[in-house]
Amino acid sequence: MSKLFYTRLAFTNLRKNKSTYFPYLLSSVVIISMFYIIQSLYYAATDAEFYGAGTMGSVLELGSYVVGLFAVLLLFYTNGFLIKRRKKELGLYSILGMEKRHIARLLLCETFLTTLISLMLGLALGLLLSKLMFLLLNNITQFSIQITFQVSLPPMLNTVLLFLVIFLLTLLYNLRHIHISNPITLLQSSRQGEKEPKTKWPLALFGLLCIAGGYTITLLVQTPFEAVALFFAAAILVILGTYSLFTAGSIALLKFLRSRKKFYYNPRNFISVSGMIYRMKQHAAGLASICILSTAVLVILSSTVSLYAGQQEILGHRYPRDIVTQSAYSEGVELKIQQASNETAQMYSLEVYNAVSFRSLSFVAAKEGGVMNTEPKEGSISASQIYEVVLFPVEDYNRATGQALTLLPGEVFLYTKLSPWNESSIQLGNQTLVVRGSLPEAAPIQSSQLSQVIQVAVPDLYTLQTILNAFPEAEGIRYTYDFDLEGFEEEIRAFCSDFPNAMADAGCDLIQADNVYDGQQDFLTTFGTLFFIGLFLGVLFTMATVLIIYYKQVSEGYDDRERFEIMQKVGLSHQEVKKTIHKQILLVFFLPLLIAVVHIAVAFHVISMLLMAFGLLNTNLFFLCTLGTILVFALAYVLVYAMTARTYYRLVQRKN
Amino acid sequence: MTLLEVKNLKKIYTTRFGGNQVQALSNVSFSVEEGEYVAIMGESGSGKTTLLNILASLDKPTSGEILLDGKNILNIRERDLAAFRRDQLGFVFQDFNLLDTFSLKDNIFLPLVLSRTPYQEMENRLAPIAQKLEISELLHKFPYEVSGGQKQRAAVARALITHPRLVLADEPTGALDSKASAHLLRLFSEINRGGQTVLMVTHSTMAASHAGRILFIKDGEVFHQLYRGGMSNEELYQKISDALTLLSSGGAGNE
Ligand SMILES: Nc1ncnc2c1ncn2[C@@H]1O[C@H](COP(=O)(O)OP(=O)(O)OP(=O)(O)O)[C@@H](O)[C@H]1O
Ligand SMILES: [Mg+2]
Repeated sequence: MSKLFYTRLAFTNLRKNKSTYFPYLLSSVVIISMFYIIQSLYYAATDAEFYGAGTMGSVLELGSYVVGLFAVLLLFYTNGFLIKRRKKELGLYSILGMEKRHIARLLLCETFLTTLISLMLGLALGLLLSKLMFLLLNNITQFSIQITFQVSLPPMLNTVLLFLVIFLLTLLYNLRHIHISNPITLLQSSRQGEKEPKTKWPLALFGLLCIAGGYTITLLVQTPFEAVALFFAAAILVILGTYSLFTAGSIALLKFLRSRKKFYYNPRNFISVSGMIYRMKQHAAGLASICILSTAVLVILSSTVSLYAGQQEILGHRYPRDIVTQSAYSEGVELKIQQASNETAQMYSLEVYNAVSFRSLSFVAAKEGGVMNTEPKEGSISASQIYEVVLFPVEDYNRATGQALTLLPGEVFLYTKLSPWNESSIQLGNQTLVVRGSLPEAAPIQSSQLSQVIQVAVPDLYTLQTILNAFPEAEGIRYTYDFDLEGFEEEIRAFCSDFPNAMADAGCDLIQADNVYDGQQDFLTTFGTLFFIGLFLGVLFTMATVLIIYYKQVSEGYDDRERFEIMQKVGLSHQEVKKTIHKQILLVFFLPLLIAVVHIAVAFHVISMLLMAFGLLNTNLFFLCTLGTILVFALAYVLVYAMTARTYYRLVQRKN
Repeated sequence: MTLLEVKNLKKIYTTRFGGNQVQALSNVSFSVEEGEYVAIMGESGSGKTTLLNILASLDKPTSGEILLDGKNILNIRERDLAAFRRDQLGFVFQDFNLLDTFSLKDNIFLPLVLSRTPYQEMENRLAPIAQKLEISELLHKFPYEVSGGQKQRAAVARALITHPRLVLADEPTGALDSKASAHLLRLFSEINRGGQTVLMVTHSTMAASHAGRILFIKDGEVFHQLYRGGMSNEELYQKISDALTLLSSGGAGNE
């Protein structure tokens, strides 16, 4: 009997608070289904025995951690919002004679219902959509590896387990809240929000320092290597900074504005400044979250889209020709390798063309002015000073690129990938060479994607050997033989798998023998999965943004209604009130987007460096992708705003 | 000169659910001369707040006319109404209506800021009023930090700081102790002597005895009027007590 009573009360409560509970339930359902989907993809990928399935599996695994973590955060945030709204009601129950344990039982019932409903619906939706998602993933990776749709138990169990724990934790959180507060504080808690916030200067300062630090790091990064090493730290700093600036900084600024009498006591500023102080106090954390989420969406989408779209180009850089080989250079090795390659190709009725034959010497050194030093003092150099130095005879360069450059002894041509070379000479070991000028284009050979690279065209092979003698730790001169193949695809594939063995049989000792076809499949798998995860997380984060915006609009609507009425009574016209409120709302809602765009603009440099680490050198492509993502996201944002603003105005403009 | 003329005012509230109708005012007519001090008395629920709200154009009557300086305020456009309200009227609300986002001081400044008064001028005006209402020490506090009586005095200060021609006060002493009430009533008498017209709703015979005329409202109509004539406050107090007794017994008789 009494059990039924609580269940019934719980049901009524959920129904009564449906404008706030429904979005909560909906987002639980969606996030549960998304977690299930990514889990089932992950299990399918690890089950698959394809080459490359491992990469896909680990990307998906990482993705499912992000989704899981995010589920915890999101559900806690929305639960906090709900319980805050309901404190008054619960306080009333306890004043009307409900004991705390009765309230606890009521909450238990409610949580049980919510959990049951959202898990069932979430799993159902997940099952329904996962087939579609398998298809999408396979399409994006262009079936480079095919994972087969399956319904298995582990992902389902994981999902149920995770969300049971989350819901249990929110219940404990709510119970603790009820337990530690007495009825009067519960009753008045909706009024507590009215307290004027204190200015927290230390926090504001901390935020400022964090942002400044994060921005400085991202702007000072010069090489992909630094970008990879420092991006995470910079992101954490910016996140911390955004949170503290939104919470403390905004209030400090507004209070400062308020203290300036001339500025403050002016109809427009008077109402907006005081209103904003109040709003920021209540919503700073939510706004900061929106800002961070928006930034995350933009970063993830723009970079994964760029990588996916720039695959061919990345492939082109990594594989200057379809087949790439490298071996140690010695007299006569060139001819031997060329002959062996051609003969192997003929065995498969293929024709070698576009061949590049290239001798080079490379080593890592630190740039100290015009000197390339292979043994720099420990701790005296920064990452941006570290160069991969690639030396080659100008004759080989001319042959590979079709140029006709000439050099006198003691002269060089240079090419640098990231920072320009400003010195007039370059010292390599005991040789000081005069810089004649820069190479018109990069030599078509592989080079480091992480550090700075300098290519040096020297007059002849002899110079190369002299330099090698000065650097005993260098790996020696390498011979690169790259070529394209003409013929049927099937034969090319057969050639590729047989090529290393055939060369070994012919007595050629290859250090490296790769082909673009394997590479392409790798790329499709890796970047395709990344792109898929990017889309997936993009959708998830966008949903969270929508949810937070919705809750903010609703809660502000309730709070603003009273203020709206009083202002009219005191002598502000309906239009004026509407205008000021509209302005504030616009400011509050578009501030996060604006700051997210600023973050992106500052981070653009470091992210393009990160993409270089993946081999994407095309900054223009990344710029376009970023711009496109921002536009699409802003459009979605505006749409969400417009839709929720309607709810807001409906709440505010209670009819007379 | 007649400042305010109210003719056949009628107000029927229709509740939202079901056509349940409440007649708050049935037929109210009276007029107020410039510089008068009028108290309005009546039982709880007799329609006093409704009347004041309509006079302040915060609400619209079902029928009837309100002439201020001979002009019908029901015909003023919404936009001009806001300006009219803050320049000509000072309203002390029964439930204070202070904004929780402003300190008491800023709450009091609100109407002045809206009409773009220079800051120095606002300070000059605030000081004497705050002193008389004994809230000088509280000005930097926020509404949730002060008591009901203190809030009420801030609401009074907000109504008076614009030097309005017509002060409409809905139970301005409702939350005050006798000492604070006395201060407030002295302030009202003072501004009234300075030429401002005061219309005050009150349940307190003591408060009403400061007025020049008392209107008694009952069942949505002006039931009775009392003029001070040459009476002292004490004599008027006695008269009002008698009238109230008559009012309630008559009310009992009517039913
Ligand atoms: N918004 C409203 N909707 C419906 N009925 C209302 C509304 N406001 C007031 N009433 C009704 O109109 C009548 C008059 O209310 P009013 O507030 O004017 O009384 P009052 O004389 O000010 O009482 P008190 O002395 O208690 O303040 C009451 O019966 C009240 O219930
Ligand atoms: Mg009233």
